[in-house]
Amino acid sequence: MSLTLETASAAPVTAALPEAAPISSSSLFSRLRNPLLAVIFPGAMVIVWHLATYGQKYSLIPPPSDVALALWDLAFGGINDDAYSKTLHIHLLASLSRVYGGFAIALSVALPLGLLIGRIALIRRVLDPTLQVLRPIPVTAWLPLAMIMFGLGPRSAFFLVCLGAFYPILINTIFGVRTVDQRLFEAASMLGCQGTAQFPRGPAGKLARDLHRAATRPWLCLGGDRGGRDDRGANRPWRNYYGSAPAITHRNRHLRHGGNRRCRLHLRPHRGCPR
Amino acid sequence: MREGANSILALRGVSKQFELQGERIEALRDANLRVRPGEFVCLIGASGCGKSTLLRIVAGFETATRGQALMWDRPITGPGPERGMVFQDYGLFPWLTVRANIGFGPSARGRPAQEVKETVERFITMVGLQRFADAYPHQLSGGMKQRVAIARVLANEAEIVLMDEPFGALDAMTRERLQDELLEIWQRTRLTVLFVTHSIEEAIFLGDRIMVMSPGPGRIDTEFPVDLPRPRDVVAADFNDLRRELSLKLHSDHARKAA
Repeated sequence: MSLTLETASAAPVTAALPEAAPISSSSLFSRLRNPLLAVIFPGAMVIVWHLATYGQKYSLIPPPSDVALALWDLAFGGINDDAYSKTLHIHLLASLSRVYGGFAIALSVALPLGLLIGRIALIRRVLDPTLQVLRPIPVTAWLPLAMIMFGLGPRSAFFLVCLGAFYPILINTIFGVRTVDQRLFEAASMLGCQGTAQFPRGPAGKLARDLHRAATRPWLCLGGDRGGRDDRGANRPWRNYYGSAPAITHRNRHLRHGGNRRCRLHLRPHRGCPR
Repeated sequence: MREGANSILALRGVSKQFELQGERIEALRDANLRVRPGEFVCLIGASGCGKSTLLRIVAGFETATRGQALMWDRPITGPGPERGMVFQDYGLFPWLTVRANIGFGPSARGRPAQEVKETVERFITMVGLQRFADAYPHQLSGGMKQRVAIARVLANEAEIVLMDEPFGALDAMTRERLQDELLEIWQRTRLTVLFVTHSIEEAIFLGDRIMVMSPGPGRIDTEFPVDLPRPRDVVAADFNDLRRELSLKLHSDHARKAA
């Protein structure tokens, strides 16, 4: 059966069309427009940062130029030549492995659990109340327990990252399963796909979209307290995304005491710095 | 009513009760039905008469609280591909294309990929959706979606096709066209069809037999055989005689319930 409409023949409308505008330059600008707009705000913040901190001797926050130098040194070396020069890739790898490793572990636990809880009422009634009670506990509150259970190394970091990703994945999975129209489950059974076979084929297909929403959570955990120890076992009270906290804190100590910015004395972490 | 294994579907004394907010609602009481293979049976009745419940018991989504539902003399225990159901709200999988929807049943049951592909092609052609084979359900019109639903059930080698007001959500012209296509498919495949509707005209146009159901509690009231030759003419005198008769029957039921 034909589903196209037959229209009466009409004279082609070509007369009143305006001249087409030249494509190339305007299209480039329109493509760059959104990235440029997105840069304005952070750019303004960097300028404010610079104006607030540049030339201030006793500022605890270094100006952006110093941070840029430290970052360059961390990545490529050649400025400070201390123990942290040219080590960015190590730290980056460590952080990425925590993020993706933790997420993978969370996924492998939370996804099947979410499917089961969403689908089987008995499991939901047994597990869900406890999980809901534990959910509001902030990830950092789990820290002491994590240290006891997993020690002081990267394993507790994995655990915390995993915990951060666990609940969003679980909740989104449960929600995804429960909001699948009951009619679709009926249709699937009617077509011969019953019981556990429904999991990979039917509603689980929709859940993939919900998963990426949970994927950003592990990054938020990285920036916070990391268990008090880094890979080298030295005491690091905090780390930021740029990984240059040791250098910055070290440098600030010297600034506070009026020392040279390019101190080569203390090549090791600032713990135990006599000043 | 003939006894014996000649009937593809048999309902004996089927009753169904629901619990609704503490109250017990009798959706069906003592329904008896016997359907022969290849028959087109229409169930008609006002809302609340239990026709959808009866259909869902045959499909296996509900179980009768009393009585037996038998297919080929074997009890119906759950949903299955031999009793395919076409829903009023289509029930297509929105994340699958037309092709994948139709092929869902055969591939879920483990058929080899080549066979699935051939089956899908055959039924896409049968319902005339070749140009939309790779479209998603949200890109289709209601009539097209219903065609996919019908093809999906047929591709799964259904022996009985259960239809729960399938054309209720469609506009009049599409409904008429789909009725014609359904009859064409039915005559070609000679499947058994159990069709629930609230439209008298649709029931007479399509069915070999019309079972009138009445509410409060739901039961099968009367049976009207339709002996008109096909293709049926909705404006013919005999068609309208039957229509008048059914209309009176349904209105008297309605009046009795209201009283």
